[in-house]
Amino acid sequence: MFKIEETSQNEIKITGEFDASQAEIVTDFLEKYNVTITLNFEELSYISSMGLGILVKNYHRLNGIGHIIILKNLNDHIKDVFKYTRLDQLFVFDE
Amino acid sequence: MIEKIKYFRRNADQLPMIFHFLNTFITEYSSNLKILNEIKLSVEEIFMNMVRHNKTTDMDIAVKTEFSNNSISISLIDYEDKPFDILTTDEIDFDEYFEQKKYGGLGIHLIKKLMDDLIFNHNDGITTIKITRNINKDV
Repeated sequence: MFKIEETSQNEIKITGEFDASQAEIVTDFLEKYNVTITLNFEELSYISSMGLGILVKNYHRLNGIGHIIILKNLNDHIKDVFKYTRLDQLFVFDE
Repeated sequence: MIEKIKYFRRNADQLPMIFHFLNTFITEYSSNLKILNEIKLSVEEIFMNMVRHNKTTDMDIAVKTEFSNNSISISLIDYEDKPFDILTTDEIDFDEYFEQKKYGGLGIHLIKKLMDDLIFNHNDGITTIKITRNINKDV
């Protein structure tokens, strides 16, 4: 079951599989934030290219107003996806 | 060779059913979640490209799974007059990509990175895109 929720101040946990069918839910949720946010992927098992696109779009939006997106607890699949798209050079990782 | 085929409506809401179909087939041969997710990502990208770019038909998209020689292959089959050959897409220039603040178009690049083989075929109005992943690699 897919879920996105704020678990502490400006820290957002995404649970399940982030595929194209969840795009609108995530877009609407993240658009509310105009501060630096942390995305906790501890229970995110899968992300698609559309999911990546939504994260990158929000990265540019927040970066434009002086904020960043911090990512933490990425599994091997998600780490690889960030590495192959060089997005590991764009985002900040809390390892 | 062992193969199965299933048909899905042209809508993103079909993705959970497609993933269930893939999970059931792939876990018979590999318990590696990384391989499963790589195949799911590639299938989602191809399926959503067909849904978004082919508006000339409302026919279901077929997903065919095959296993042979330690490799899993998935074919997506669609009816279209003007096919989009994903093999012809340009390599991404990442410096330019970041500089211009782009945020889409990463899927085909990822398929080429993650899969061992990618074949595009168009014949008699039918497009078949087939991906193959060796299950003994990166285990």
